[in-house]
Amino acid sequence: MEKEYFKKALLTEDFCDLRYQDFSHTTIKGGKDEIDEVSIVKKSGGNVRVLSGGGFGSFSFTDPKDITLAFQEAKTASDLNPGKEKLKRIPTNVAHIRVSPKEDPRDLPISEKKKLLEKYRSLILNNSEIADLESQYYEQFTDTLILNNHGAEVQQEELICGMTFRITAKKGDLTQLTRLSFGGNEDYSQLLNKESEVLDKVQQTINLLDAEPVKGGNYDVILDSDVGGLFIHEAFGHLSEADNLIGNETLANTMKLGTTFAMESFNVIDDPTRLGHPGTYIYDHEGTKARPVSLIKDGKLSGRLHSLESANFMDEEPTGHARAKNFGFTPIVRMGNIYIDQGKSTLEDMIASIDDGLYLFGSAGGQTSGETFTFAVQGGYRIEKGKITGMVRDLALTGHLFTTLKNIEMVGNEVSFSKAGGCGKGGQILIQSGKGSAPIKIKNMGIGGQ
Amino acid sequence: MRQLLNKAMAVAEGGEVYKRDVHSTSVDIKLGKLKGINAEKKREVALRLTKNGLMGAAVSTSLEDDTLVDRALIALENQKSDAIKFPGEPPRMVFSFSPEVDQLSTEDVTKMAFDLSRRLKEKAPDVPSGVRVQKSIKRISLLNSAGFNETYDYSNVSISLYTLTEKGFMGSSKEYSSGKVPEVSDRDLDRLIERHRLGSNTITMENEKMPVIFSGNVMGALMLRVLGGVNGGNVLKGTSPLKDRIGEKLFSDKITIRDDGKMAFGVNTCLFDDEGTIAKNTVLYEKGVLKNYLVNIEQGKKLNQEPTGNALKRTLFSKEIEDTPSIFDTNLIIEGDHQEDELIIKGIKRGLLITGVMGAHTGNVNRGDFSLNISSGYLIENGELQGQVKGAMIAGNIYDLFKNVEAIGTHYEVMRSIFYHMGYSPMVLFKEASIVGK
Repeated sequence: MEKEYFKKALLTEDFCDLRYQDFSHTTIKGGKDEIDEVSIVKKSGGNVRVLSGGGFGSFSFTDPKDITLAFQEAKTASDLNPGKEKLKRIPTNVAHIRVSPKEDPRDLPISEKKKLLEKYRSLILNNSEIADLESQYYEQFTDTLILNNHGAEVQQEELICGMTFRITAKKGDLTQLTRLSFGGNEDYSQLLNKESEVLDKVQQTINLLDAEPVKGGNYDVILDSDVGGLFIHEAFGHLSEADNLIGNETLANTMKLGTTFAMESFNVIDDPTRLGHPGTYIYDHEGTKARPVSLIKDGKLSGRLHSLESANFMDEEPTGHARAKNFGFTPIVRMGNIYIDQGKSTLEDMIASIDDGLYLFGSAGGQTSGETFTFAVQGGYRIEKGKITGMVRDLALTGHLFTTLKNIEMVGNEVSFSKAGGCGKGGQILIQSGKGSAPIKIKNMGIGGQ
Repeated sequence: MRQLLNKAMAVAEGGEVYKRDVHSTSVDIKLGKLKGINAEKKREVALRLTKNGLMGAAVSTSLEDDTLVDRALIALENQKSDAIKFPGEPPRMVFSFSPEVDQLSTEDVTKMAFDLSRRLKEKAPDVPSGVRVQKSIKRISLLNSAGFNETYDYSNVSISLYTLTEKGFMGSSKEYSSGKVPEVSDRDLDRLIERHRLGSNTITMENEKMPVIFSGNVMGALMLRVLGGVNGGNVLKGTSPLKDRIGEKLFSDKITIRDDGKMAFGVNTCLFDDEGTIAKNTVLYEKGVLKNYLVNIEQGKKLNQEPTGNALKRTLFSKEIEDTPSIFDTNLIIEGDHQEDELIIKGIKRGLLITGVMGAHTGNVNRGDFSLNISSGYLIENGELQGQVKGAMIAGNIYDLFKNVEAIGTHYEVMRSIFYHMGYSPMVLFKEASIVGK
């Protein structure tokens, strides 16, 4: 990566920035029978943006020789936008960030990572009820140069490694699918000695074969930390991404700071600086230093996540949340590590407070569309008269954001984070997106069963 | 490409070089104001090698990348994927490229977006709306050691129109995607606005079984499950319920489903798939009878079927060059005894028209289960749309649902499977489905 070459290409007028990235991604994947895919991807490329007209023009490229063309095209695109927009706050950070993990996965041969994956795979497959397995080791390293024509010069390494498993158990025609993840940060040692977690998850998957299908309807529910994290990510987190508000004043009014969204003891934070999670980083892809943002404080809307453009539109401070999947995409506002902060209730108190409801565990993907959201969970337990009874399966939840937030009645006293990241927005799947939560109790939640 | 293949063949028994050049432009307009213009010009290269019955792959952004062959060898030595015999059959011509699209400049694409925004504004000055237009041009080349050496060009224009509710959330929407510039009719704009206005009358549903129409666009959520069933990989793994069921009547005889990679100017039309099998038109269900699986070269051998040209470098959420070719749709087409859309709606005493869902990727997709949030849907009473349904879900299994196809509509829409388009369908009426309401 030739820093001086790219610096020379920066336009001298208006605003422009450039992100050039060396991207490498190693995966080891195995189906039910064997490890059938090992790949080491290496790609390089860049993305430039120009703000000379009424809005950003951007251009991605893979051949460094196209840098001049990229700036020309981005400027033409920006100039096509009537008006003259100017950024009030432009980052000028100069920094060189290197990763220094406790155990660096890049120092280990493929064979060692493959051996570890094989060990966990054998534990899972050594059960006759397991009908299918998708297993994966992933390791992604990026070295990104971020420059702008106001002096920002940030070079940043980012590293994430982890393992994910999708385990399918089968009895007759019935199959049940669960997910398990380790790691989700730069330290390979976090993937070691996970045998008991693997065996517990296998047993849970097998137990789900004897669970009752849930009957669709409305229930009082407790979400475990993993599901709570998915809930706050899907239901509220995406709405706190302020690029949604650009040019949409009605939505900006709906999201007015100070509006009461939930009970007084409910707090939501997004913190990319919290170490050891999938969404941990120091500078975003515009060169802004990331900072924790309190999104809901004491039940009231207290902040939002910004890029330079959204901060400019709202006349607020950038928060360092503009990121892109890779060099082929322009940065958009993304969550870092979003979580529901701890409250005061114990899990036992929460269970005891429910007469007829469900305790739901394990996230299985979700989606949001403005004020409504939906997500699936891996399984659950029925709660009857304050006690956990039988297991239930085939669960999907749906709700209206503002109603559901107001229906949160209790927040647990311990936060934990999911080990798997991943979030899709604007055609970009970002694996570096973390989520966590204390367990929460929500009354009257819509559950779709079979 | 030849040089890279020669280098590879010095250490391997078989080789394949795949090159993709992409040039795309997208323009977003919200509330009449240009939000941004993004463009890209990228080259990506993938190399696959076979040796001693094994196969390995590597990708790069340059044909000159010196590490490509070494990385492909590392992959080959560490994984147990069987070597495939690279195909050498020469392809026939398909219409996947329109020079008219290729010639559209950034200014032209911007003008197209502004024109659509203006037309929407003229139809309903009080309704906030947005437009996104994306133009893509690709050149895909594949050279392999079996003598296959072909290139094709691909063009696409995708248009998305939407309205915003008074709170600023998505109201109604409409999508187009084609190898040529899609025509947006006044009738479509009128319907978009009409459905937006129905949103002011919110209807809450109770739990109920009722007739349901899936709009063409939303059929994608169900077709993802059809695809999971006919995917040869899933059939071989036993995660599809369709093993050994070719020839059985599984769906209503009112529906025929095919996958047509050769469709002229289709959203996923190709000359050959991403391992060099020529594009085909494969009937999956003919009048409800399961006819074929979608298979790659390897699966085809095991399932005694010719490869269908569906091995594509993608996953549900990405279309990156490094994605291993796996079974996905080209242009899925739903057909039947077509009836006028308006007549289908008019014939319903009490039912739902679903035009948007969320959660298409959740649940046991390969088994056919679905549990979808109805993000956009309208209650029909006595043949008229009454208002917009809020907070309801629809749940079931496609192997039950598709036995109850009552009618297939006339007006084709592009189907969406979360991130990507997957072919075309008209609206489909199912006799009965479970709605989970309040």
